[in-house]
Amino acid sequence: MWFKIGQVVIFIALVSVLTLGQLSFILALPTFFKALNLILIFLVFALFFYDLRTASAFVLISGFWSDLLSFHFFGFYLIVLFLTVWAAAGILTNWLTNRSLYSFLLLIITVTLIYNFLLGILSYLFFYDRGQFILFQSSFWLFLVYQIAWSALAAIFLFSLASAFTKRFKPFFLERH
Amino acid sequence: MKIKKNDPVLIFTVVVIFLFFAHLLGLLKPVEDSLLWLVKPFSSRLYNWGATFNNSYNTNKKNSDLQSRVEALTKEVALLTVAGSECREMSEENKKLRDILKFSAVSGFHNVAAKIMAKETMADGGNLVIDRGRFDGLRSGLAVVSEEGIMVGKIVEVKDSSALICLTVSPNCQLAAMVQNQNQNNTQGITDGDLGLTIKMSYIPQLEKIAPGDVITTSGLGDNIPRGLVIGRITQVRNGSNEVWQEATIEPPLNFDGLTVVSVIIP
Repeated sequence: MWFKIGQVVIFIALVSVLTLGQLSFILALPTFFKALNLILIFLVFALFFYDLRTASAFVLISGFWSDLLSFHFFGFYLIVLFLTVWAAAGILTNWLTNRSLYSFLLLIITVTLIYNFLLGILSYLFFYDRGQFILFQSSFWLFLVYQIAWSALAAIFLFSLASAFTKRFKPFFLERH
Repeated sequence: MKIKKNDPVLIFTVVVIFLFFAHLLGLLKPVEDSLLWLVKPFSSRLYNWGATFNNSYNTNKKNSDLQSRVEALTKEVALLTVAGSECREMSEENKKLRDILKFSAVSGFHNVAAKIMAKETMADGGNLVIDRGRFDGLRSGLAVVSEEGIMVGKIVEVKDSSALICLTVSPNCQLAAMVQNQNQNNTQGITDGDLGLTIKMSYIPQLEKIAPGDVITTSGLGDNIPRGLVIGRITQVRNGSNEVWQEATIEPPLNFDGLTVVSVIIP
């Protein structure tokens, strides 16, 4: 019982620190570095290596902190992150049937695209800053390319790290003797 | 359709709806306020580290000696720009006061210093979140300046203990501005951010004479932003003969990425 509570507390603390780190530290870095989105990377990691329940809990904590610090309406980041994770879960269940590096890479890139499009379109619809439509801004596409590059690098690193600790992701062959 | 008992989608949807309504009804307010109060110092420190890294990254990109000299000179130019603008304002004000033979006390402004906590990403240039809000007397439309007194932006939204600033370089961050030059005719116009990098000033009548190097300051039109805060210097003027208005590109004297502390001016 206490072990379970301890696990939950550590999980909440880690996700909170990660989210605050993203919002306060990473976004203050130069353009190329601030495209690194730790929230998305670890969200896909939780979904791919654990399950939808863990990923949804991650979204709940991370989305809550994001909404608390943000000036969009409350629930904006929760909705965007939940839609993203559910879309990713659908892709993972229906299209990506194995747990390979290629699946992880494809999933993380798809999630990056879905998240940015949702965020951009909903920001345009609901936020006060109604300039040029986000999809017509060159800075949006440049930022997206940087973010995909970071996500792909992180995917390779995290998959290699996870493979070093578990045999679940190593290919296996049945040999006939 | 069969609903599974422990379906995470269903459970978390219910939790999000509950959180949303609890927030709307104000039930979450004590929790939100306590959490914000708890993380404010942590967030400001993290932002400070990020901004410091940003500054050192930008510095290391060029020759270090030259860079340090350029930085020192840029700072000096910024200070001199502010001083020059203040002098011009004062001289003009003095003249008017002498004209009417009546001296009135110049109202002092109340400043609220604030630390930057976070940055909003989607907008070009980024909007900054500061750790002061409604409880500190802030409201929408107030001017935000740097330590040197350079106009950084204005407050666009306020919560109880935090506020959102749009930077002068962010699109749709409009300010009433004027040109300070030798002609002393205080040409008026509107500034707006341009791709998060520079500022453009529009609605300048064709007959007005403006040139690169002229200083742009706030015009003081409206209640919230005082007159004479430096926005930047003109780097380029576009005045096509068939256009009704002229446009100018303005470069701010500061790199906003390195900001960690700002000051909000309450008139």
